[in-house]
Amino acid sequence: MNPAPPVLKPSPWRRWAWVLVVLPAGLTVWLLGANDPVKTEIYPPCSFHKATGLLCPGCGGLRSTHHLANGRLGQAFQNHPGFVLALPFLLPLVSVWIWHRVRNDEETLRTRMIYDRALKMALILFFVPALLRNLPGPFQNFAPPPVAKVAPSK
Amino acid sequence: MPRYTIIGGDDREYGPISLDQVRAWIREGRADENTRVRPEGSQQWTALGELSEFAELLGIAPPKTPGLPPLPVPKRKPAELKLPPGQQVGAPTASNPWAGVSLAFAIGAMTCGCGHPLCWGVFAGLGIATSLMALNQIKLNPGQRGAGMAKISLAMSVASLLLFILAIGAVASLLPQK
Repeated sequence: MNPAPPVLKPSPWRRWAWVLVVLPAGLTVWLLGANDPVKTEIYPPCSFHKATGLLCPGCGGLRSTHHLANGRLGQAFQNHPGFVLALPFLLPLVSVWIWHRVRNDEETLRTRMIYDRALKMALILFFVPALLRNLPGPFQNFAPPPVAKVAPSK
Repeated sequence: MPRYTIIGGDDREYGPISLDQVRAWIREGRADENTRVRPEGSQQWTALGELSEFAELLGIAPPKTPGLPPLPVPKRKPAELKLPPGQQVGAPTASNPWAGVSLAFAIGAMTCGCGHPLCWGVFAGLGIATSLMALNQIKLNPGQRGAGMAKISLAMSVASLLLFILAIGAVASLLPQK
Protein backbone atom coordinates (compact mmCIF):
# COMPACT_ATOMS: atom_id res chain seq x y z
CA MET A 1 0.00 0.00 0.00
CA ASN A 2 1.39 3.36 -1.03
CA PRO A 3 1.26 6.29 1.33
CA ALA A 4 -1.31 8.80 0.08
CA PRO A 5 -0.21 12.18 -1.27
CA PRO A 6 -1.25 15.19 0.81
CA VAL A 7 -4.60 16.88 0.24
CA LEU A 8 -4.16 19.68 -2.30
CA LYS A 9 -4.75 23.13 -0.94
CA PRO A 10 -3.83 26.33 -2.74
CA SER A 11 -1.29 28.45 -0.91
CA PRO A 12 -2.87 31.66 0.39
CA TRP A 13 0.24 33.59 -0.70
CA ARG A 14 0.12 32.40 -4.30
CA ARG A 15 -3.03 34.41 -4.80
CA TRP A 16 -1.20 37.68 -4.12
CA ALA A 17 1.98 36.89 -6.06
CA TRP A 18 0.87 39.24 -8.83
CA VAL A 19 1.26 42.21 -6.49
CA LEU A 20 5.01 41.48 -6.41
CA VAL A 21 5.08 41.96 -10.19
CA VAL A 22 2.58 44.75 -10.73
CA LEU A 23 3.77 47.00 -7.90
CA PRO A 24 7.49 47.19 -8.79
CA ALA A 25 6.75 47.34 -12.54
CA GLY A 26 4.17 50.09 -12.08
CA LEU A 27 6.46 52.07 -9.78
CA THR A 28 9.36 51.80 -12.23
CA VAL A 29 7.28 52.90 -15.21
CA TRP A 30 5.80 55.78 -13.21
CA LEU A 31 9.16 57.03 -11.92
CA LEU A 32 10.94 56.61 -15.25
CA GLY A 33 8.06 58.13 -17.15
CA ALA A 34 8.17 61.25 -15.01
CA ASN A 35 11.98 61.60 -15.09
CA ASP A 36 13.94 61.57 -18.34
CA PRO A 37 17.04 59.52 -17.49
CA VAL A 38 19.09 61.62 -19.96
CA LYS A 39 18.24 64.91 -18.24
CA THR A 40 18.11 63.61 -14.69
CA GLU A 41 21.46 63.35 -13.00
CA ILE A 42 20.36 60.33 -11.02
CA TYR A 43 22.35 57.72 -12.79
CA PRO A 44 26.12 57.42 -12.59
CA PRO A 45 27.85 56.87 -15.95
CA CYS A 46 28.03 53.19 -16.80
CA SER A 47 31.48 51.96 -15.81
CA PHE A 48 31.11 48.84 -17.96
CA HIS A 49 30.60 50.99 -21.07
CA LYS A 50 33.42 53.29 -20.02
CA ALA A 51 35.85 50.43 -19.49
CA THR A 52 35.05 48.28 -22.53
CA GLY A 53 33.24 50.59 -24.96
CA LEU A 54 30.65 47.82 -25.37
CA LEU A 55 26.89 48.17 -25.02
CA CYS A 56 25.62 45.73 -22.42
CA PRO A 57 22.22 44.08 -23.13
CA GLY A 58 20.54 46.61 -20.84
CA CYS A 59 21.99 49.74 -22.44
CA GLY A 60 19.23 52.12 -23.48
CA GLY A 61 16.66 50.27 -21.39
CA LEU A 62 15.93 53.18 -19.04
CA ARG A 63 15.60 55.64 -21.95
CA SER A 64 13.40 53.16 -23.79
CA THR A 65 11.13 52.70 -20.77
CA HIS A 66 10.91 56.47 -20.33
CA HIS A 67 9.74 56.99 -23.93
CA LEU A 68 7.40 54.00 -23.73
CA ALA A 69 5.79 55.34 -20.56
CA ASN A 70 5.09 58.56 -22.45
CA GLY A 71 3.69 56.73 -25.47
CA ARG A 72 6.59 57.40 -27.85
CA LEU A 73 6.95 53.96 -29.39
CA GLY A 74 9.38 55.03 -32.13
CA GLN A 75 11.88 56.59 -29.76
CA ALA A 76 11.51 53.67 -27.38
CA PHE A 77 12.37 51.33 -30.26
CA GLN A 78 15.38 53.45 -31.22
CA ASN A 79 16.84 53.24 -27.73
CA HIS A 80 16.32 49.52 -27.15
CA PRO A 81 14.72 47.59 -30.05
CA GLY A 82 14.97 44.23 -28.27
CA PHE A 83 13.00 45.44 -25.28
CA VAL A 84 10.17 46.82 -27.42
CA LEU A 85 10.08 43.66 -29.58
CA ALA A 86 9.84 41.41 -26.52
CA LEU A 87 6.89 43.30 -25.02
CA PRO A 88 4.17 41.88 -27.34
CA PHE A 89 5.11 38.45 -25.98
CA LEU A 90 5.71 39.48 -22.37
CA LEU A 91 2.60 41.58 -21.75
CA PRO A 92 0.02 38.92 -22.76
CA LEU A 93 2.01 36.33 -20.80
CA VAL A 94 1.98 38.47 -17.67
CA SER A 95 -1.71 39.32 -18.14
CA VAL A 96 -2.71 35.65 -18.40
CA TRP A 97 -0.57 34.86 -15.38
CA ILE A 98 -2.17 37.66 -13.31
CA TRP A 99 -5.62 36.48 -14.44
CA HIS A 100 -4.87 32.98 -13.15
CA ARG A 101 -3.49 34.26 -9.83
CA VAL A 102 -6.42 36.60 -9.18
CA ARG A 103 -8.93 33.85 -9.93
CA ASN A 104 -6.81 31.41 -7.88
CA ASP A 105 -6.71 28.95 -10.81
CA GLU A 106 -4.02 26.46 -11.59
CA GLU A 107 -2.75 26.71 -15.18
CA THR A 108 -3.50 23.84 -17.53
CA LEU A 109 -0.69 21.98 -19.26
CA ARG A 110 -1.43 23.77 -22.51
CA THR A 111 -1.21 27.20 -20.85
CA ARG A 112 2.12 26.26 -19.32
CA MET A 113 3.45 25.25 -22.73
CA ILE A 114 2.32 28.59 -24.16
CA TYR A 115 4.11 30.33 -21.24
CA ASP A 116 7.25 28.43 -22.16
CA ARG A 117 7.14 29.43 -25.83
CA ALA A 118 6.27 33.06 -25.11
CA LEU A 119 9.13 33.36 -22.61
CA LYS A 120 11.63 31.83 -25.03
CA MET A 121 10.44 34.11 -27.83
CA ALA A 122 10.72 37.19 -25.57
CA LEU A 123 14.25 36.24 -24.48
CA ILE A 124 15.37 35.69 -28.09
CA LEU A 125 13.84 38.97 -29.27
CA PHE A 126 15.42 40.83 -26.36
CA PHE A 127 18.91 39.42 -26.72
CA VAL A 128 19.47 39.18 -30.49
CA PRO A 129 19.35 42.94 -31.25
CA ALA A 130 20.90 43.72 -27.85
CA LEU A 131 23.99 41.66 -28.65
CA LEU A 132 24.20 42.37 -32.41
CA ARG A 133 24.45 46.12 -31.86
CA ASN A 134 28.02 45.63 -30.68
CA LEU A 135 28.96 44.61 -34.23
CA PRO A 136 29.97 47.23 -36.82
CA GLY A 137 28.06 48.11 -39.97
CA PRO A 138 24.27 47.95 -40.28
CA PHE A 139 23.96 46.47 -36.79
CA GLN A 140 24.80 49.89 -35.42
CA ASN A 141 21.18 50.84 -36.17
CA PHE A 142 20.18 48.78 -33.14
CA ALA A 143 22.38 50.89 -30.87
CA PRO A 144 20.82 53.70 -28.81
CA PRO A 145 21.64 57.19 -30.10
CA PRO A 146 24.56 58.73 -28.21
CA VAL A 147 23.55 60.78 -25.21
CA ALA A 148 24.34 64.44 -25.85
CA LYS A 149 26.01 66.09 -22.91
CA VAL A 150 23.42 68.24 -21.25
CA ALA A 151 24.87 71.71 -20.83
CA PRO A 152 24.96 72.84 -17.18
CA SER A 153 22.17 75.35 -16.64
CA LYS A 154 24.05 78.47 -15.72
CA MET B 1 -5.90 -3.11 -15.14
CA PRO B 2 -3.97 0.01 -16.08
CA ARG B 3 -1.74 1.43 -13.41
CA TYR B 4 -0.62 5.03 -12.99
CA THR B 5 2.14 7.06 -11.42
CA ILE B 6 1.13 10.52 -10.21
CA ILE B 7 2.93 13.55 -8.77
CA GLY B 8 1.42 14.62 -5.45
CA GLY B 9 1.07 18.13 -4.14
CA ASP B 10 4.39 17.63 -2.37
CA ASP B 11 6.10 17.09 -5.79
CA ARG B 12 6.81 13.45 -4.95
CA GLU B 13 5.98 10.48 -7.17
CA TYR B 14 3.23 8.13 -6.02
CA GLY B 15 2.68 4.81 -7.70
CA PRO B 16 2.29 2.80 -9.75
CA ILE B 17 -1.23 2.64 -8.37
CA SER B 18 -4.54 1.29 -9.64
CA LEU B 19 -7.29 3.22 -11.41
CA ASP B 20 -9.53 2.92 -8.33
CA GLN B 21 -6.80 4.30 -6.08
CA VAL B 22 -6.39 7.36 -8.33
CA ARG B 23 -10.16 7.87 -8.34
CA ALA B 24 -10.23 7.61 -4.55
CA TRP B 25 -7.48 10.23 -4.26
CA ILE B 26 -9.37 12.56 -6.62
CA ARG B 27 -12.46 12.24 -4.41
CA GLU B 28 -10.38 12.95 -1.30
CA GLY B 29 -8.92 16.08 -2.94
CA ARG B 30 -5.40 14.67 -3.13
CA ALA B 31 -5.33 14.95 -6.95
CA ASP B 32 -7.13 17.14 -9.47
CA GLU B 33 -7.30 17.72 -13.23
CA ASN B 34 -3.85 19.34 -13.24
CA THR B 35 -2.11 16.55 -11.34
CA ARG B 36 0.71 15.14 -13.43
CA VAL B 37 0.17 11.48 -14.32
CA ARG B 38 2.07 8.84 -16.27
CA PRO B 39 0.17 5.70 -17.26
CA GLU B 40 2.27 2.58 -16.80
CA GLY B 41 4.22 1.78 -19.96
CA SER B 42 4.13 5.38 -21.20
CA GLN B 43 7.15 7.66 -21.29
CA GLN B 44 5.05 10.83 -21.36
CA TRP B 45 3.69 12.72 -18.40
CA THR B 46 0.31 14.30 -18.90
CA ALA B 47 -2.47 15.73 -16.73
CA LEU B 48 -5.31 13.72 -15.15
CA GLY B 49 -7.78 16.02 -16.95
CA GLU B 50 -6.38 14.85 -20.29
CA LEU B 51 -7.19 11.18 -19.61
CA SER B 52 -10.72 10.13 -20.59
CA GLU B 53 -10.98 7.58 -17.74
CA PHE B 54 -11.03 10.40 -15.18
CA ALA B 55 -12.99 12.96 -17.20
CA GLU B 56 -16.39 12.20 -15.70
CA LEU B 57 -15.14 12.19 -12.13
CA LEU B 58 -13.38 15.52 -12.68
CA GLY B 59 -16.53 17.04 -14.19
CA ILE B 60 -15.04 17.54 -17.62
CA ALA B 61 -17.41 15.30 -19.65
CA PRO B 62 -20.87 16.75 -20.41
CA PRO B 63 -23.74 15.27 -18.34
CA LYS B 64 -25.64 12.42 -19.96
CA THR B 65 -29.27 13.06 -20.87
CA PRO B 66 -31.44 9.91 -20.43
CA GLY B 67 -33.52 8.89 -23.43
CA LEU B 68 -31.43 10.77 -25.97
CA PRO B 69 -28.57 9.28 -27.93
CA PRO B 70 -25.32 10.51 -26.47
CA LEU B 71 -23.85 13.51 -28.23
CA PRO B 72 -20.54 12.88 -29.92
CA VAL B 73 -17.96 13.94 -27.38
CA PRO B 74 -14.98 15.59 -29.04
CA LYS B 75 -11.93 13.74 -27.89
CA ARG B 76 -9.63 16.12 -26.07
CA LYS B 77 -6.35 16.28 -27.88
CA PRO B 78 -3.72 15.22 -25.41
CA ALA B 79 -1.13 17.88 -24.79
CA GLU B 80 2.18 17.02 -26.36
CA LEU B 81 4.89 17.54 -23.85
CA LYS B 82 8.00 18.67 -25.63
CA LEU B 83 11.08 17.85 -23.65
CA PRO B 84 14.09 20.11 -23.93
CA PRO B 85 16.82 18.46 -26.02
CA GLY B 86 18.82 15.96 -24.07
CA GLN B 87 16.09 15.56 -21.47
CA GLN B 88 14.24 12.30 -21.01
CA VAL B 89 11.43 11.42 -18.65
CA GLY B 90 12.76 8.80 -16.32
CA ALA B 91 16.21 10.39 -16.14
CA PRO B 92 15.78 12.03 -12.74
CA THR B 93 19.39 13.15 -12.53
CA ALA B 94 18.87 15.66 -15.39
CA SER B 95 18.63 19.21 -14.11
CA ASN B 96 16.73 21.89 -15.96
CA PRO B 97 19.29 23.99 -17.87
CA TRP B 98 17.44 27.25 -17.15
CA ALA B 99 17.81 26.75 -13.39
CA GLY B 100 21.58 27.24 -13.64
CA VAL B 101 21.19 30.20 -16.00
CA SER B 102 18.77 31.87 -13.59
CA LEU B 103 21.16 31.37 -10.67
CA ALA B 104 23.90 33.10 -12.68
CA PHE B 105 21.62 36.07 -13.37
CA ALA B 106 20.49 36.18 -9.74
CA ILE B 107 24.06 36.26 -8.48
CA GLY B 108 24.77 38.98 -11.05
CA ALA B 109 21.78 40.94 -9.75
CA MET B 110 22.89 40.54 -6.14
CA THR B 111 26.53 41.47 -6.64
CA CYS B 112 26.19 43.89 -9.60
CA GLY B 113 29.81 44.94 -9.99
CA CYS B 114 29.36 47.18 -13.02
CA GLY B 115 28.38 50.29 -11.12
CA HIS B 116 25.13 51.27 -12.78
CA PRO B 117 21.71 50.85 -11.12
CA LEU B 118 20.27 49.66 -14.43
CA CYS B 119 22.45 46.59 -14.03
CA TRP B 120 20.37 45.53 -11.03
CA GLY B 121 17.18 45.89 -13.02
CA VAL B 122 18.44 44.00 -16.07
CA PHE B 123 20.01 41.13 -14.16
CA ALA B 124 17.06 40.87 -11.78
CA GLY B 125 14.54 40.92 -14.63
CA LEU B 126 16.43 38.24 -16.54
CA GLY B 127 16.83 36.23 -13.32
CA ILE B 128 13.07 36.33 -12.75
CA ALA B 129 12.31 35.42 -16.38
CA THR B 130 14.72 32.48 -16.53
CA SER B 131 13.86 31.08 -13.09
CA LEU B 132 10.15 31.17 -13.96
CA MET B 133 11.05 29.44 -17.24
CA ALA B 134 12.84 26.71 -15.27
CA LEU B 135 9.96 26.27 -12.79
CA ASN B 136 7.45 26.17 -15.66
CA GLN B 137 9.43 23.52 -17.56
CA ILE B 138 9.85 21.44 -14.39
CA LYS B 139 6.06 21.50 -13.95
CA LEU B 140 5.78 20.20 -17.51
CA ASN B 141 8.45 17.52 -17.00
CA PRO B 142 8.19 16.17 -13.47
CA GLY B 143 11.39 14.13 -13.86
CA GLN B 144 13.60 17.21 -13.98
CA ARG B 145 15.55 18.58 -11.04
CA GLY B 146 16.56 22.12 -10.26
CA ALA B 147 13.29 23.44 -8.80
CA GLY B 148 15.02 24.37 -5.53
CA MET B 149 17.79 26.21 -7.37
CA ALA B 150 15.27 28.07 -9.52
CA LYS B 151 13.26 29.10 -6.44
CA ILE B 152 16.38 30.46 -4.75
CA SER B 153 17.24 32.43 -7.92
CA LEU B 154 13.69 33.75 -8.07
CA ALA B 155 13.85 34.96 -4.46
CA MET B 156 17.27 36.58 -4.99
CA SER B 157 16.13 38.30 -8.19
CA VAL B 158 12.92 39.62 -6.66
CA ALA B 159 14.86 40.92 -3.65
CA SER B 160 17.36 42.79 -5.80
CA LEU B 161 14.61 44.12 -8.07
CA LEU B 162 12.90 45.62 -4.99
CA LEU B 163 16.25 47.14 -3.97
CA PHE B 164 16.54 48.60 -7.49
CA ILE B 165 13.10 50.18 -7.26
CA LEU B 166 13.84 51.57 -3.80
CA ALA B 167 17.14 53.00 -5.05
CA ILE B 168 15.49 54.71 -8.02
CA GLY B 169 12.68 56.03 -5.85
CA ALA B 170 14.96 57.34 -3.13
CA VAL B 171 17.43 59.03 -5.45
CA ALA B 172 14.74 60.39 -7.76
CA SER B 173 13.01 62.11 -4.86
CA LEU B 174 16.26 63.49 -3.38
CA LEU B 175 18.08 64.90 -6.39
CA PRO B 176 16.89 68.02 -8.23
CA GLN B 177 16.26 67.84 -11.96
CA LYS B 178 18.19 69.87 -14.47
